Amino acid sequence: MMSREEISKLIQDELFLSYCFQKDATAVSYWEEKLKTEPENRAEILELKKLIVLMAFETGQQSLDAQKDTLQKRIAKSAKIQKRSMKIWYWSAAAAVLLIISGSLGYLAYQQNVTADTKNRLSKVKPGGNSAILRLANGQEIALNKLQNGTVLKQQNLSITKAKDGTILYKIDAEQNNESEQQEFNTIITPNGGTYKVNLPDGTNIWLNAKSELKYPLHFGKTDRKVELVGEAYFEVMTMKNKPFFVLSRQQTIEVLGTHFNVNAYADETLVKTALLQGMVKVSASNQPGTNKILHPGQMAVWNPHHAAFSVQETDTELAVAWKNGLFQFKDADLTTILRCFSRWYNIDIVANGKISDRTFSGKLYRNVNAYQALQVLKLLGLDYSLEKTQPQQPLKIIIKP
Amino acid sequence: MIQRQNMNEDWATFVSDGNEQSFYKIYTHYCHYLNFIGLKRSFPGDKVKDAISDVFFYIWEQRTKLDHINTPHNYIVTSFLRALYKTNRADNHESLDEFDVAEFGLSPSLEELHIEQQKNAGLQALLKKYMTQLAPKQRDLLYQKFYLDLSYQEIAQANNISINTVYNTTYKAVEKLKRQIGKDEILLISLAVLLGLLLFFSKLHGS
Repeated sequence: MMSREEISKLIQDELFLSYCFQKDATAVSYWEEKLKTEPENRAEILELKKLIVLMAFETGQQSLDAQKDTLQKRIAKSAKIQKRSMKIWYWSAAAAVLLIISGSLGYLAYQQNVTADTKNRLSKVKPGGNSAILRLANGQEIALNKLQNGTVLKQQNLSITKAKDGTILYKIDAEQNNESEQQEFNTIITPNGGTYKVNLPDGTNIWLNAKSELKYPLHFGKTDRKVELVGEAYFEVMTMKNKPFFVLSRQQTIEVLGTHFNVNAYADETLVKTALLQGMVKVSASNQPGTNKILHPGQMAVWNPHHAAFSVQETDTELAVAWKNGLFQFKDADLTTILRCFSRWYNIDIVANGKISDRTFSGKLYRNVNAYQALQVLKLLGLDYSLEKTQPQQPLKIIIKP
Repeated sequence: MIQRQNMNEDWATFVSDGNEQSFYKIYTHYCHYLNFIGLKRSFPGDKVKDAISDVFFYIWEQRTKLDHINTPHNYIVTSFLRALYKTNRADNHESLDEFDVAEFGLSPSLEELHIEQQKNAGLQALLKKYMTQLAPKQRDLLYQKFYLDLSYQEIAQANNISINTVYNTTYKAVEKLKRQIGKDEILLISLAVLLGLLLFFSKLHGS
């Protein structure tokens, strides 16, 4: 005969629990046998079994309900805040419009240099959008934005699909032994004013900013995954054990130990900036792999390819990926940086006539405004500009006057 | 638990028009599972719950921008693990690679649960009532032990308490429930009778 306490202590016996949930045949037959041969405690033990099973159900239910409730409240609360901030946004937008209008009036009263024609032509310069060229291994070039959504291209044993949202998806159709085949590469090239998103066969997502190039092998090697970047891109790397992901750009190598980061490596910028949002990456000079720096989320590595020097600083990562979220966002950026951004996005050449202000500028601007609206920023900085005469097929050219 | 196939359909409905019902179906599908894998990796229960909430909050907020996700299952599990490891980042990034998550052999045989539950509606109601009277910590331990079927050792590690504390707390909670239910046994019998009568009448009515 078991004592009451001994019976209660059965909840600490994993074999008994397996019997309760009929998880394990040995446990079930053991306990069924035991209850037959020792019937004294049968009723109490069966009662306990029932309680355990019901309790399992009830705890599962209650825990789910409680967690779901928390989530629902959180969602409801955020919806309220969003409504409120929409209102604020609305009013600040209205204020901004007023500012711009009054600003332009004042401006027009002073000088008529930006002519109606300039304004008209610049207003027609639409912001960039999804646009890129895919260069296949055989050198063939495909304009991705002219491709119908849903189109599938075949290459070796890969299918390349243009998805509903325009993303390019790589999928391996059949596992093959590719070791004997020579490395073949594809390249995605975005023009000025173009961005593109590509999804590589390993599941990694990459967003390319304007005027950038990304080169990647059709099949990653056995031991690593290497891509080459010129320009700017945001990476969400699929983690794979034993197959690290490398990004090579302007003599800098990034070894990805996990997940989300932005690389700005335009040839016409002095510095290469790698900002980490999530996970961990290791950056090093491509020709000196020993000298590496590890980045943690919220940090940015600044690489100067001319001096082969690194520094790591804390950064506002929101700034680094603003472009991906449809914004120009600057913090203490000098005018040349801002203008290079505009130039890449609107595909206009911007030339400064003489030395322009070294004032810095902070602010946000939606990337979907037209060129004229974007260039209003110049006015805020007290700068005047004019349109240069160019050939019809050439990009517009703007001259900034100090 | 719904099947993976159905889950994919729910996901498709959810991302196409932000359907709330599909969203909570997916949530229900993953809530226990993610609790299970989080605790299995020795993360404290609260952190695990926060990470699940973060992931689904994010998914809800981004609902119109997720149609590029091809394998929602991988997306959800990966986001969850990222959210978990982000909270104490540097010390553990190695294990982020371990994507070979053991499939959740959802412990209690569901059929068994269902049958018992149907047979014991009265007892179930009592349990519901008394369980809400337990301390939240106690309830969590019962959930981790009996629903998620984690070992006592795993529970001790995840909650950063000694294994004896886990033994004692669960033991005391079960004892308390038994005592309270015992007191209500008379009520229970009358409930059973009432239930029997109801069944009897509904059968009569049915025929």
